[in-house]
Amino acid sequence: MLGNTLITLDRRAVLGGMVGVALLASSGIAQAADAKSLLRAAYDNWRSDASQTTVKMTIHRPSWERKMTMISYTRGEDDALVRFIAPAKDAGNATLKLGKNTWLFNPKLNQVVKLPASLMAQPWMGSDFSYSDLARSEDILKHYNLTVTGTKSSGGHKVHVIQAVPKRGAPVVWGKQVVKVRDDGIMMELAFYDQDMALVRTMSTDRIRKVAGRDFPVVMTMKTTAAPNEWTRMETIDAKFDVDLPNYLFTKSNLTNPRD
Amino acid sequence: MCPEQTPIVSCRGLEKNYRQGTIDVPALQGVDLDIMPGDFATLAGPSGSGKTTLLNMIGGLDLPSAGSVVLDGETLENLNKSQLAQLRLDKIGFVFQAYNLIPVLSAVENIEFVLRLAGTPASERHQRAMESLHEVGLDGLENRRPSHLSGGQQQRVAVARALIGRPAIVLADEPTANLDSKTAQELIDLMAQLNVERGITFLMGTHDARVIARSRRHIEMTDGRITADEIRGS
Amino acid sequence: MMETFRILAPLAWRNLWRNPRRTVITLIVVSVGLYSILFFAALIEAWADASRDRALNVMTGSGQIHTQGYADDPTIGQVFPQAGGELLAYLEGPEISGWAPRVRVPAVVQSEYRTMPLTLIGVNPTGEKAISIVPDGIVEGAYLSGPDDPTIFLGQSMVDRLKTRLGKRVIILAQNSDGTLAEQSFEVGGIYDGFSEIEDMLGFAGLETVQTLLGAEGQLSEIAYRVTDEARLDQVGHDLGQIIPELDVQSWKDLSPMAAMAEESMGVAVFIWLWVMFILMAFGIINTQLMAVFERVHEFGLLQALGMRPRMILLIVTLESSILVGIGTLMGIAGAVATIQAMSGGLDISFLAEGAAMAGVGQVLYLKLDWGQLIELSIIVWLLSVAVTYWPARKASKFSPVEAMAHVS
Repeated sequence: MLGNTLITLDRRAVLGGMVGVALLASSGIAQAADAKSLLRAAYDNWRSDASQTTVKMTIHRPSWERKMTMISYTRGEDDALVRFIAPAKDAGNATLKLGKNTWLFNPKLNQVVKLPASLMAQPWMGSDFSYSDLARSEDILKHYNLTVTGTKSSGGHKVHVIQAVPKRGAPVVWGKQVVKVRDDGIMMELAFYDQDMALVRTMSTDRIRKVAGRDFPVVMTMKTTAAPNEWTRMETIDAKFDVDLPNYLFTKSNLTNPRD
Repeated sequence: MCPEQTPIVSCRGLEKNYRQGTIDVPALQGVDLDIMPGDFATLAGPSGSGKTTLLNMIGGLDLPSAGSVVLDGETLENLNKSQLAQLRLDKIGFVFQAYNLIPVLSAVENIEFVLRLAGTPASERHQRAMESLHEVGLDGLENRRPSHLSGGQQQRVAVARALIGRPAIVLADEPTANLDSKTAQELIDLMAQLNVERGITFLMGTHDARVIARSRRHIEMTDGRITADEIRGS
Repeated sequence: MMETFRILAPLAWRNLWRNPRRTVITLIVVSVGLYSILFFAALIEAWADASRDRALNVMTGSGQIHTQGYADDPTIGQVFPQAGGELLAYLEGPEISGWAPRVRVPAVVQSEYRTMPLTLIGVNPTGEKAISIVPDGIVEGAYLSGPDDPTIFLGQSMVDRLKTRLGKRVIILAQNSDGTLAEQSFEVGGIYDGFSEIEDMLGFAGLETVQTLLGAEGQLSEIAYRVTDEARLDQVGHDLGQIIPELDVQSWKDLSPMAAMAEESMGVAVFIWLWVMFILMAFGIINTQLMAVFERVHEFGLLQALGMRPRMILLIVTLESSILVGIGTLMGIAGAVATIQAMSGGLDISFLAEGAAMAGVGQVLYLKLDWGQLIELSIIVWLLSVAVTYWPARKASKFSPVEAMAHVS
């Protein structure tokens, strides 16, 4: 669901919500009064862009912590490739998403596996994100009714609070989502509530910095309410936007034998 | 004793040793004896003189260590257990000292039982048994179980049963031992009468003077040997 | 032989009542022993029936129809058209007491908190109620109302694990017939509990709802049926095989090999119990019969002296045992039959509820009188008991008459 919302905000970051979230920074959202327009604007603005980002992911647990680095490529709203480059034991692991399908590549097995539905629940690379978080491509605009419930000022920007309530029959589990979007399109917080309207998990932007000339949320953290000592943090180290990505990047053969 | 007659029982050189622990105890030490048809003989001697052993040998209940017993033409040592049982059934009537009767059978059933074993037809069996009860003076007591008969009555039933199979010889071992004087006397009278009237041959081991007094032949044993064999007129 | 029997039978009969106490003890040993064997056999049979019925009543039915490839690949790719024509006529015919069409696929269920694997089954509630007890296991909410019911019927433990509850939404994800991922929101319309066999891993939704979700309108992956007469199970399987040669028809024996095996192992348990009880009985019988022989040593001598052959002595003691054990056997049978009849209305074992549920059995056992088994077990016990009395009988026939006569008890 996380991915769901993120994708809505930035269709280039179809895979790996954290990657997409990073891209929000550069979206210039119009000061539209209604929520749908706010989110739609971000969506349209980034629809056909391509991106290449380097992200460090930190998975924190009370007794251990793990850091991984990945390069993420996105093209349009549906295609994405994530390849891990560090640490050594995870390097080479890659995830390719084309439309609704997701494939995994494990260099140790030297095998491409199409992600079966039963694995959708599994945490992605041991993080607080599941594959289903990443793979969902339906958008918040389609399945939710959106209303702006408030606007605050913060650090010279306006932050809109948008409440998203699922439409009747929509295939979403949440009771509601609450999205905080800065007037320049940077998402400040994304909160998921269960059907009893209790907070389940929250993704928040911890730090915003200029990247490639734009304000960019370089550090974002996903936390689960039930386990306050556990979180996954995504830190953008490098980002290029509007890059020209070759077509072969988003193929299964490239997943197996990377040319870059 | 008429020399031309064939003896019913003929014992020759009978010896019997019982093993007690590691030593052999001689019970019979060379007995020669002929019992003639119609004998009403008593066999006496002190305890351990061998009279019961001799009766057992003659009755085919036990086999001698040496010597032979011929009973009505059959040489006993040649027979197996089954054949001995058949011989006892056909040729010998037994009257023991006590506990002579099968406790679960009535007086008449006890007598009939022998006929059943012998295969006598049912029609004949009951009548003969009743007759024999009449003969021993027990009319009206035929349906009593042994436990409801007096000692004398029990011995009378035993006598009747001994006779029912028309045996060649009746062997009696202390038949009067457990009876009071009057009852004993009556039993002796009965056996003597049967001997005289029907020619039944009796050989009785006893030390009852009243029995010995009535016998027509008296044999004495001591230490497994016959020490006297006296034929008396009655 | 008949004559021998005529001589011995009355004697044997009367001998039995010479020591009523001992006879009664032997009778009790034999009758109680046999009673326990017969009752145990009936109980275990009832248990086996109950557990089998239960296993079959949950989902399996008497048999099922699938495509040939379903066993290897139980997905939406393995479907066949909804029953019609000759197949429908047969399923509605006298041999089948109930049948249930199903679409059955592996799926994933998602709540706000958890994502769990699940077997999604699209059912026709009417058919399902005819062959399955799952609709009766309802603990909350309601069962599906029809093939187009939009709600889902989930197991209690699944609901607990998902941290959801009645009335809340869950998302079902499953592979569509075109290979893509289908997803749909379902309201939890009902919750069942109490079927440890399926570990509450099944989620039931309306047949048409699921067909639409998976893009498999008019297609089924399974038909479960129940035969009217269990004895004709194989015949029905054969008939169906003739009608639908392209499909795979399997009886519960193939589908639930564990249930079939359990049934066999119950038979083994009965025989183990028979031997345990019999060994106890044998001690009692040998003991009393040896006592009976030693009490009558003198008498056996007397019988031999009177001209009874040793073999007949053996016969008479054996005959006594046969009669005694025979009476005990009849008493045991009578007791067992009476008890089983009295309990034929159902034996409530709810006091064992937890253990019973664990063993997959309902709370009431129905004891049935199986005359064939009853007579078979009784004859075995009787013959074995008579056989063990051969020892005392042989002893009785081996006494020498002289020694026996000298033995005054």
